[in-house]
Amino acid sequence: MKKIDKIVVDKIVDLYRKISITPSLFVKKEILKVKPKGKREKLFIDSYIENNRLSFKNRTPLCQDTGHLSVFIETPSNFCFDFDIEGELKKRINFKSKKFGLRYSIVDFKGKYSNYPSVYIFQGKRKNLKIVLMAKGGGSENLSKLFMLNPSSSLDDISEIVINCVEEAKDRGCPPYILGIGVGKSSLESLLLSKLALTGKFSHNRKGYEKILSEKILKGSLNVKTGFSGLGFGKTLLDCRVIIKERHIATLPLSVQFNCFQERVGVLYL
Amino acid sequence: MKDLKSSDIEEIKNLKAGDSFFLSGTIYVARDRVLNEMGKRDIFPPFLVNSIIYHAGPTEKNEKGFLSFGPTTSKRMDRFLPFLFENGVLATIGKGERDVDIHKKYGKIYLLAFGGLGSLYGSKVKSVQPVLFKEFKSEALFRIDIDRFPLIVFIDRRGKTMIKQEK
Repeated sequence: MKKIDKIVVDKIVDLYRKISITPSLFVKKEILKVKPKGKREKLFIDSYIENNRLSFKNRTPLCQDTGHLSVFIETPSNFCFDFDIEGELKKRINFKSKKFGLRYSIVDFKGKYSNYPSVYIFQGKRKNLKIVLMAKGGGSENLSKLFMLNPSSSLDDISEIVINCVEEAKDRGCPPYILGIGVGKSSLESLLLSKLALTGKFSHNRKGYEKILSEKILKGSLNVKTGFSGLGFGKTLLDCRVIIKERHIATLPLSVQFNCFQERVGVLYL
Repeated sequence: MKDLKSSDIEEIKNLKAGDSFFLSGTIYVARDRVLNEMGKRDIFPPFLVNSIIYHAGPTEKNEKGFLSFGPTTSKRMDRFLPFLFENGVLATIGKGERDVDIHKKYGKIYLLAFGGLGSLYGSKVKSVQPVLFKEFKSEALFRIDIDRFPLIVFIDRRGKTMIKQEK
């Protein structure tokens, strides 16, 4: 039986800080591809570049909403944690958030603030331990949707629903967006699939029909004119990551999750 | 781009949708929890009359003494706008679209700050003082001094928006 010691906790906390202050290279490339024309467009692009520079120089989070941290742990079959990893993570993240200048964005019903993460552990077909972190702010999280579709719905129907979601989201979640789409399983699992897809680290768009759906959504979203920061220029949607699984014959759950342009995802292999 | 101070009340009132400018001076920070409490308890401190309210919540200062302090989504706080405007708030700052009709009704403006750029806005905050509901941590009511916040007028006092203007 393979075991892992508590050192993993500090590695996760350090990675949380790193993703909070380091811009997504994929998004950066996409944003900087666009040549600003007007004064407002230039102001946004210049501000984005300056924000990246300041985060690097001052070690401050790219966005003050350092998010709700999701920790997805995929283990080999012969593996166990012999300590309470969720409990240790809660303690260490809370302790280090102050020093790292992260925000205590989580609040309980008594009004107590923390930075408690959500931890998901599942067994995978792999030899090492894979840990994926995704820190996601409240603005994009509030755009999440679950639809229970008629099982006879086509990929075109699904694509139309998702494009409507992008249109309706307007600029409330900091566009340009990245989408995670989960189709199949139960309502609960489709939401989880969409979140896993959103990380970009769990084999999305691999099957032919996943790729087709992703392309349809990306193509259709070109007509959505929200653009960067709602200013009407640049793409509204930069990427669409789809995972489709089997379903009950009477159901077709569809989940849609948005990420903002400050995509904060990191991965550790141990 | 022009420079304005938060004390330039008449000039700010008359800004047009689509105008971009830098704002300096003293403004106040309030978001969901503190606005809800103020509304419920009917608390409106007199220093907020003619003030500009920034919808935001800062990070902790890090070990180098810097913080991140960008805007949050304004739409969630639309329900508090009649309370703020009836009590004399001059304008609000936040990210994303918000209710145009309320601004037209009260003749108030809404200023857009870019979401997701907390380091940039944080670097322009020169002092932060919690003034009410300090126990709400990052959701307290803060007085802040800012130097050259980049902003765009999203909705002007006649209810025109920067997006419609572009079409």
